[in-house]
Formats: sequence, C-alpha cells, structure tokens
Amino acid sequence: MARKAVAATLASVVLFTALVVADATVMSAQDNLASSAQTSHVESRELLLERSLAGSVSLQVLAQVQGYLSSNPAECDGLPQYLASITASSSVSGEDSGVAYSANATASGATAASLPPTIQRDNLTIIAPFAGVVSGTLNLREALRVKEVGGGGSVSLEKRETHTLNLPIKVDSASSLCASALGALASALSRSPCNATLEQAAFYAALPGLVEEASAQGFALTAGWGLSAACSASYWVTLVEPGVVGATGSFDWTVRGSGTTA
Amino acid sequence: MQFIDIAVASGYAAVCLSLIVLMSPVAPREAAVEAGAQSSLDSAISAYVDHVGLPFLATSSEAAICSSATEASNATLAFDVVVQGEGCGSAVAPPLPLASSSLTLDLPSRTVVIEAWLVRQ
Repeated sequence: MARKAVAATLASVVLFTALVVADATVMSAQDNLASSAQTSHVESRELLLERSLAGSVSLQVLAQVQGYLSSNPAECDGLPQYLASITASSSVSGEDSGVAYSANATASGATAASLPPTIQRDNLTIIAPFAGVVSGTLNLREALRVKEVGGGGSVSLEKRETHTLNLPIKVDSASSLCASALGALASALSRSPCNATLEQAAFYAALPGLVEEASAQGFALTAGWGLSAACSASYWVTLVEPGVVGATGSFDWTVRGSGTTA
Repeated sequence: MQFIDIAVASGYAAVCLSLIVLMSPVAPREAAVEAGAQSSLDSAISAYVDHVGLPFLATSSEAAICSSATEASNATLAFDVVVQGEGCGSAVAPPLPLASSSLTLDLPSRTVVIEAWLVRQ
C-alpha cells in the first residue's frame, strides 16, 4: 500500500513538473511573440512619426518662405539674389506613444540648374506637389533631420536627408516680363525727350500691350512714369502674381522694377 | 509515512498549480494581439495621410477633411479628424474598439489630430 502511495506521488510529481515545464515553454514563446509584436509596433509608430514629422517641418519651412514672399516684394534687377537669399528653418521635438522625437529642417533658395538632376523628383510625397524641382519656379534645397527613440531606448531611428521643395511662383516669367516691360517703357519714353505730352502718349500707347503680355503669363501689371531733372523721365513697373497656391493657402507675389531715361 | 507522503504531494501540486496560474500565456498573447492591432492602425493612418497629403490637411475646410475621413473608413476601420479641437460630427468612436490610435500633426496654421479605431465585428 505504501509503495503504491509513493508511486502515485512520484507520478503526480512527474505529471505536475511536466505541466509546469510545458506552461513555462508556452509562456516563454508567448512572451517572445509579445516582445516581437511590441517591437514591431514601436517600429511602425516610429515610421509613421518619421513621415509625418518630415512632412510637418517641411511644410513649416514652406509656410515661412511663403510668408517672406508675400510680404517682401522682389526687385526686377535683383531677382536671382532675392531668391538665393531666401532661408527658412523649423524644428519640433516631443514625445508620442513612448517615442521621443526631434526633427528639424533648414531650406534655402536654389536655382533648378544648380540642383543635381537626380533629385528633380523627390520622395517627400507627403507634401506633394511641393516636393521636387519644378523648372521656372522657386526651388529650395532642404536639409532634413529626424531622430526618434522608442521602446525604452531599444528601437531608434535617425535620418539625415536632402530634399528639394518648390513654391509655384513664376520666377522665369517675372524675370522676362521685367526685362520686356522696362525695356519697352524706356524705349517709349526716350523717343521724345523733354516733351511731356509726347512722352505721355508714348507711355500709354505702350502700356496696353505690356498689360496684355503680363496677363497672358498670369501677372497683373501696373506702371507709371514721371519727369525727373534735366529732361530725363523715370518710370516704374509692378508685377503681381495673384493667388499663388502655396503650401498653406493662396498668396500674392510682387515684383517691382524701375528705370530712368538718359 | 502515508500522511507525510500525501502532504508532500499536495504541497507540490499546490506549488505547481500556482506556477501554472502565474505563468499564464494569455496575458502576453493578448498584448501581442493588441500590439499587432496598433501596428495595423498606424499603417492605416500612414496610408490615409499619404493619400490626402499634408497640404490638404493644412488648408482644406473641415467639411472636405471630414469627407475624406469618411471615405477612408470602412466596416472594420473608423477615422475621425479633429481640426483645431473640432471633430467630424458624423464620426463617433465605436463603443468597444479592438484598438485605437491617433496622430497629432502640428501644421503651419492649425493642429490636426487623426484618430482611428479598429471596429469589433
């Protein structure tokens, strides 16, 4: 009887031990699965954040440039310098779902010709159509950096990339309109120096054609003139590109030019 | 002797049963399922943002944004977009979602929060 009891006890011990080992094995496997799933979740969250942060700071940069363009008229004779002087930067940092992040972007004006042909199309499609190079418009070269750390430091992501952005102001059209309008007005006013009546007639004869030419290219042109000292006439032109569809809404872009006849 | 034997066996059985209860694989399995659901939601939010683009969310009217959220929703996935604290009236969080996720976008002129839920079928 005693032997049977010991045997039964030993059998129970073996059975329960096997159950505990089996449970521990399943538990360990499930733990690994949970850990992998959690890591995968942190990775997918970081990818989502990376894309949205890259887009957000780039959009902030475009908004700053847009604000600069709408409040600072360009000069006809300094258009390339005006565009090259444009700079903007934006940064953001914080924490989201256990992921600490920081992102910053710095952009500066660049001509299409100065940008490598390999980046004419840009993969920052989340801010399309303002990503990539568009010939004849304002193009920007952007240095972008995104850094994220999540999962208690176990999952980190860092990206340093160069992107190209654009705002659809018609730079080339403005440049050619400046040259043609100022040239035509100088020519008209130079034909009859020291005769205000004839100068006025010549000015107003030339103006409708210039307004029409500008309108055909999406600009509103206004111009004026006045007599300066010693029979010379001074004249000015203002070109406004209205309703440019920017990254944060529509805005007007103004280009001014002036000259004096000899 | 018999009494000791029964006591040892019972004690060991109690310890083993306690270990089995403590090492329940249910909790990590549920955590894995939840993490998987969260990843699916994050992918869905990413696809939605990619589809509409940030300029759309930065400049469009609330009605247009809500319409896009409705279009992106389906039987198992519900979207709401909160623009400057105002959500889409038609989109309501399901009572017992399988998982929920949100993404806050600090755009130049507004803050937009995209919320998504996996709906229990």
